[in-house]
Amino acid sequence: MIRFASLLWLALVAVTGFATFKVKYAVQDIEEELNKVRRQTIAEQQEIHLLRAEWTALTQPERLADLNRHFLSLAAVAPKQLQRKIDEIPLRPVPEPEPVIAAAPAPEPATAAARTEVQPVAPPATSVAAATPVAAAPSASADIVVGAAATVGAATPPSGMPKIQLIATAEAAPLPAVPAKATPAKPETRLQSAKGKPAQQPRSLDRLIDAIAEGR
Amino acid sequence: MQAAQRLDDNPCRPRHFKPPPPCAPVVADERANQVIETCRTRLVAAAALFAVVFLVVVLRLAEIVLVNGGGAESHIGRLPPAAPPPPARADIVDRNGTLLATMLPKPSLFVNSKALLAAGQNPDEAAHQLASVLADKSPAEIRARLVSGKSFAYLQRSLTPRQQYEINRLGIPGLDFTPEERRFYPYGDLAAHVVGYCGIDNEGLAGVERGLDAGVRGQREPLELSLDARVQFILREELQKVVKDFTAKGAAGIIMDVRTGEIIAMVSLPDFDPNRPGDTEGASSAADPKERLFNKITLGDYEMGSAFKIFNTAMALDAGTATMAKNYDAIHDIQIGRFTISDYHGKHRMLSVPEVFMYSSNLGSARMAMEAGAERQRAFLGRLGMLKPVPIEFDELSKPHYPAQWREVNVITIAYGHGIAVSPLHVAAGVSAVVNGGILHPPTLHKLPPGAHPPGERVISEKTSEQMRKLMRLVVEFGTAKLAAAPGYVVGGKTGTAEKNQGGHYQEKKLLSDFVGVFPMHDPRYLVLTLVDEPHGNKQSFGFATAGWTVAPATSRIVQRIAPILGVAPVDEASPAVTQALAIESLQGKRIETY
Repeated sequence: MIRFASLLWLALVAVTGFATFKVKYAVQDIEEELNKVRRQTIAEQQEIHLLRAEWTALTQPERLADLNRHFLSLAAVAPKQLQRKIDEIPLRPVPEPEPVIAAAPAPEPATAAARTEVQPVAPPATSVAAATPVAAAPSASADIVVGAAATVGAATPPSGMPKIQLIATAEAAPLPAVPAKATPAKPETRLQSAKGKPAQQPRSLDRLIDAIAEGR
Repeated sequence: MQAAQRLDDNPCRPRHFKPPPPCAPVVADERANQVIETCRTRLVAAAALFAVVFLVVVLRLAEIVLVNGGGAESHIGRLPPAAPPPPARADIVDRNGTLLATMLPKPSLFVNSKALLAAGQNPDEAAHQLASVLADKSPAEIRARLVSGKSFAYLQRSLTPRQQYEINRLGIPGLDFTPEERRFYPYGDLAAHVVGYCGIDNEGLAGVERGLDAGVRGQREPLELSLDARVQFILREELQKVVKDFTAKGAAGIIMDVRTGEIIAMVSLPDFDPNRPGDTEGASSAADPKERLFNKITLGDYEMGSAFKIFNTAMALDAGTATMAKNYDAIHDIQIGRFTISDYHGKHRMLSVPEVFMYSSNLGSARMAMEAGAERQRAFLGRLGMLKPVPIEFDELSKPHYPAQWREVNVITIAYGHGIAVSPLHVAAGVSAVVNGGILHPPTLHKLPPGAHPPGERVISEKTSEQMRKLMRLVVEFGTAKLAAAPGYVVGGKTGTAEKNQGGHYQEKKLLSDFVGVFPMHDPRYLVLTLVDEPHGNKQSFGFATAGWTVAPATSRIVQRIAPILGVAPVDEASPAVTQALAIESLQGKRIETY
């Protein structure tokens, strides 16, 4: 009886002893791993710090200005380009027909423009239908369609399903290529004039900004 | 006896049980048995107790190891977060968090020659490889160190991180690095005078590094300055342009938030590279190092010329000795002692206060000051802080020069900014107070939280401040600073052109032209002060080197570039809201003669 109890205790001591050491070593391993990770973390942080310093040195305003001069030629923002409220931004004006186009025989663009401007007054349903053929005239193109869409949207009362109309007119925009038969020569002359210009004007972005500035 | 003997030996003998005296009759056996029985019971109880305790321990172990998997009770959560040791000096950042100064590891490379040779490394080959990384050392030089036989010899101090990486990659035995840190200024000379620089032991020697040394040394959190690196760049670029265009000796500029006194940009040209202070190599101009290190904004003391008329007019209006409608004699020159005071842009007629200010009439200003008197003038300038160093986080501060005895001639000259020399920072702080509603805020380089209202001291009434805003706008609209106009930003200001005083004589050819601009004038936000030292007129300025032709156009360009960055939206200058805010009643209906 006593012998059995002693054996039991002995076994228990052995088991707990073993378990204790096992746990201790496991903990040591984990701790080592932890320290390794911490060292890595610190190394990464120091690396990030270095990279941040390098990034700052590389993004010196002086250097960026230099790179801009070489590759982008971005201009400073002019006061008239800054607007605070959405309603201070004027609508894009209807572009005057270009001289090359005016020389072309077809008088279509003027009448087309006139028709679009009239359209918004008409009841919404017909205006959608009318917008599609109007967009067919290539010189009138997207600008007028967008302008028409905006006025239609503003003019129609909410009951007249304005959402559908806007979508319809927007879809109409890419259409012009299909009934282009009206004035087939125009796209070519336009392309030529566009080709001629870039040689004198160095940067497309500058031209865009100039165009916006002139538009105002 | 035998029983008693046994009892005596028994370690479990109860305390109260005493062995019978030798001669006493032998105790009965039953009693002894009873005692032994008690003993046993207690033993069992004690053993059971221990067993229970051990069981608890075992169960707890089992719970930790098996049930929770060792996670819950770990001390990981109690460890401090992994972070590199604090740097010798904290980073300095601008108001947007851009690094202006930081510590970089700059390890030094040394060689343990014994170890290198013991490892059987070929010194020629190693020297050749090292020379390809260390550009400024010849292979022969390196080889000499490699074979020196010493256990410590420096090969190169202050390696770049890339060089260290390359050397590690070479894998040459016996090489090692000593950890060292150096201060690094990624933006170089951009904010040199503000940030300052450090010595070899990382002690602050100039600028903020010195003035706020305690806030930087040994700290971990970066020091946030009120500076904006983008604005700083624009100011510096435009000033460089002015220096170049007018072949000037130098220039300086400061941009300040008039509502809080925060300094957004501060430039003094020529400047230096804080990474190599005192080193003129590769610098943009050939000025000597001492002049480069000189911060014109805080250390310079200049007679600011007509810009002082801002203070003179504010003083007279605030004291009530002058009103906007009052006229002053600009016909007769003033004779005082051996001096004759006359006007540079003479109108030779009676001028009202707005006209005196707009045409920058010395005579009118002098008569305004004489009317107010020396006592008032001195007290007013004292209130604006013009008679003591500016309180700012810098050690390099100039002491203003002003007459010890405030005589009448001093009153007259100080009215138009001569005979008193202050730093440009004085003027910036003073003008900010004049336009912002009359509250003087000490200028600061600390970033303030947005919307903060730092404490200030009222120096003039709100009404005077409003009148001064109108007058300053007038100068740009019709007066001497028309070229400072920036469409949409309602710039106002005052020009000043002073002849430099050298050895007690004013040098006609050596000018100091300055312009104090504020925008937008109907609701002042920022002040732009620019000055140029000894400009020379050029073709574009028709030979003029005065402020209206040199720094005023520069201010226009600066304002147009910085306003979008600082979040100032352009307004329609002709809109009623703006014109009404800046209309001057006494000039209503009068035809304003353009300067």
